[in-house]
Amino acid sequence: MLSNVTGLICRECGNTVDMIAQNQCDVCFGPMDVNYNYARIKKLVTKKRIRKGPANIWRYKEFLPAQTEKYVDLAPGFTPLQRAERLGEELGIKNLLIKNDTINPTFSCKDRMVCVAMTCAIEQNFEIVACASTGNLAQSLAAYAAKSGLKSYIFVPAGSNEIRLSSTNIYDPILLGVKGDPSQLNKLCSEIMLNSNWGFINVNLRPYYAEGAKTLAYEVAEQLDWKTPDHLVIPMGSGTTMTKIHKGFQEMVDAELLRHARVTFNGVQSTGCSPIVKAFNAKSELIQPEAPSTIAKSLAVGNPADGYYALKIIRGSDGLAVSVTDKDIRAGIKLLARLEGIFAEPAGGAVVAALGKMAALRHFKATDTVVAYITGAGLKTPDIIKDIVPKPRIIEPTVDSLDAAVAAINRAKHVPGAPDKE
Amino acid sequence: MIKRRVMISMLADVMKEPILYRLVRDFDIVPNVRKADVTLNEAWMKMELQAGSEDQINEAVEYLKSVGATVKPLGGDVVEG
Repeated sequence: MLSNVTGLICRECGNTVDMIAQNQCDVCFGPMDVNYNYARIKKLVTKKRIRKGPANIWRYKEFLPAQTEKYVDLAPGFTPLQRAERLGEELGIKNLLIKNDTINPTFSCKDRMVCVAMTCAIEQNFEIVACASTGNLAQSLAAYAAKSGLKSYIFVPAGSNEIRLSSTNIYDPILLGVKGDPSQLNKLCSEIMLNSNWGFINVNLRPYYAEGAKTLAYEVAEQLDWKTPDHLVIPMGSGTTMTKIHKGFQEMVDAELLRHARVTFNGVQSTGCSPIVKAFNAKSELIQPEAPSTIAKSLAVGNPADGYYALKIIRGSDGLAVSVTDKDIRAGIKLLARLEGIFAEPAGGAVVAALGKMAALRHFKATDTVVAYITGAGLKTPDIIKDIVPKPRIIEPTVDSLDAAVAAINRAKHVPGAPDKE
Repeated sequence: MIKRRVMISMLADVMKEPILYRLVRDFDIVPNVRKADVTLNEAWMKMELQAGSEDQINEAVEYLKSVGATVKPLGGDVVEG
């Protein structure tokens, strides 16, 4: 097929290069983005054509950088956008919707990004792919590498949680624990890239990897019957997801699929790692790096690559950036599970806690449609909740024992309308 | 030559320090500024530091931190959750 992609372009100075693995501009050191022929896309794309596409991210293939249709495909995306009436009532948000990305192939939104990056890695003849990650990215990379047959190296800090690593190791990557602090791991990865032809999925392949996150915007627009929501609430680690959702909405307008992209972007971080929120509160443009200390590992990015741009989008749309404590995050996880039947990882708990904070500040109008992104499943982090979830009551195998246990549970919970048995 | 791309940022009180001059004179660094913004309240520079050894660059970074500047690798953290 004729490509819709023209190459890479620097987000800062507009310098252009071919479709190569390069994440920084050689001229001004700005981030490189994929550049498209939007006039061509506009002619090609229609709502009808999108509807006829597969029920995954490739239904928006015209907006993605793959040059061929030989996708490394585990069919990520096209996840439900579900009305959250019970949670909305609890938090005081009338029109609350949840974009439930817990049900992707490896149970997080990273699948969207890795799927695109891995497809581009093969197109660019990489034989080895790699990343440094302790969680969602590692699992996703390992799975897509397994599907593609590429060799994958995954670097983790030595001493990382073994339970979490096992859900990466099952895909049989080469998993290496690296001694020292995270900055030394960063440095090692930079040195490997200089001296090898590896595709680091979130570094030199970052322009392609990041594009996958745009599908989080396309899907919400389509699932709202091609309408723009009023508010988005997005968890922030590197800030990339927010910048790409923003780009996605803008592209929908450019392709005349949406009338406007006037949406308020709200960002969420953990108090234990909140460089973007701190800059927002300080009314500063400078993101001061910090050493993360939070249970929300998927948000624990102390030096966020796209922090500056995420901040700009939040401010430009009159949004809020809020941080929540680990305690709030645990409570958020429980609330989402109890009221909506969705078991989220800590990033999801953070979003729920932040929704409560924003609602308390009367940030949402009664008529506003609020979309909250829940980006990863709780089964990935069972250690986080084991201490806050009650253990099962043990009963005798008799009806009397059951009745006594139920009565005790009802007394403890004050369940309205429950039979008052003793 | 060893090269490292960094972003250096600082608040108003640190801006009085002649950091580029000190990098060249005291640490034998070749600073190559590619983009910068200086306001009354804060300033940042995206630059490449070039030197003969890794240690020289490390010492220069320590100096920058000691005067109150923030130094971070360009491109953000490689490690993601």
